[in-house]
Amino acid sequence: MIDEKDYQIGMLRLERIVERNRTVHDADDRWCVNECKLCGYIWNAESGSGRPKVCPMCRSSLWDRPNVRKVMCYRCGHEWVTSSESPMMCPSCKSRRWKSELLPLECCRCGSCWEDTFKKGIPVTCPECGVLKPNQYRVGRIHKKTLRDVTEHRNNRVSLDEGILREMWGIDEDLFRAICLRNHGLTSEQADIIVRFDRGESVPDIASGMSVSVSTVMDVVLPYMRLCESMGVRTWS
Amino acid sequence: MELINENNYGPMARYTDAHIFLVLDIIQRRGRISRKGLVEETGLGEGSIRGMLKVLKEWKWVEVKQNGIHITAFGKQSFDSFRLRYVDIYNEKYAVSRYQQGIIVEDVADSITNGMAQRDLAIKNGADGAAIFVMRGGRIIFPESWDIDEKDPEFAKKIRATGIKDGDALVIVDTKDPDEARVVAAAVGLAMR
Repeated sequence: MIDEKDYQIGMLRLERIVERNRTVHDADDRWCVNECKLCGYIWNAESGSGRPKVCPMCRSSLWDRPNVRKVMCYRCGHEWVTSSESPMMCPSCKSRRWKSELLPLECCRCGSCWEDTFKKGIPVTCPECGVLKPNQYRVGRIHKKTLRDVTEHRNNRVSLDEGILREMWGIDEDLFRAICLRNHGLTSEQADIIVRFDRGESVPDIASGMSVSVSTVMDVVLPYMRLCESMGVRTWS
Repeated sequence: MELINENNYGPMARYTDAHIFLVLDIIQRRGRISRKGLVEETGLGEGSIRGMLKVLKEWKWVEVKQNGIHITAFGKQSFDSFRLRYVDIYNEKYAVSRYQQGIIVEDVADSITNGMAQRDLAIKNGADGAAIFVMRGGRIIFPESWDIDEKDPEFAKKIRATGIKDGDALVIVDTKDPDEARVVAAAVGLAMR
């Protein structure tokens, strides 16, 4: 892009060249005026010498092509000159998504979707699970979620915080503890698991008693354990 | 009882819940063991052991340190809650194959009728056969009602020596491979829980 000041300078220069051409080379029409479409530089050259190969200022060979411009890859930051309508990929990092500043990402572990700059060298971080490995996320593949997907995702997540736990610990009856957790968005299964675990039941006993797998119990219990440890209430290590 | 119901991503695991139980049993018996030691003891591949340890570490059941793998207090508590215990017992009359492995499943005697369901389970898991004994009212019973104390007092004495308690069941599985015997015994024990 040329700013206003450069444009004015260029126009004055052009006027001077045109005036000089008219006065000095009027008789033999040997000179022609060239303008670089990339940097705006104007120069005159002999008309018989053919098309100049490069712009004498920016050295670009695409100086007279329509739509010539400088573009930047959002992934690696590489800048290059192109006259193509939409270049397929970045010539440096070969990314086909060089044009999008933000990319939609989907976590394969918890199903969270978010937008990220996805820059080269910066690790991808899921808002729920933290830093992800390359095989733990999908780029630009967020499908339209069905109601079932949304419900399943909500059911799989255990959203606990300090306030909820303190509120639960303030209640004596297990039934009302479970109701308290359900009111805060946990499913009945998750609430029962946390209440039983908090009461001191072992993981295999909970799994056996509720006819669920040990991994299901651990998926619920682990966030609870992490929270208790961060609050300094209990440790398990 | 099921330990892991699905793998979230990646290829299908080549180990089962029974293998996880076996690995936990080895770790808690040995106190501290290397990954290579687990590979040798279980006969599983290094990748499977790594996969299992990753899960157990995530669950905070084991700790993997430079000097070996050991079970945590939380892991020990969880392992003890399975109330399954391997026992060494051998009898040619009730089991046919060369390698036999006994496992005591606590407090399940009431749920066993004739023992055929447990035997079928063992066969499905790769055993050549299985014999189930329960202790009811202080007597060793071969279901439904064969009194071992009366009919085979020698073997009843051997069963009592394993530390079986009233209400417990003893499953003896027999296979052609010693490693497989332990895995099948764990699979039956976990299914009975």
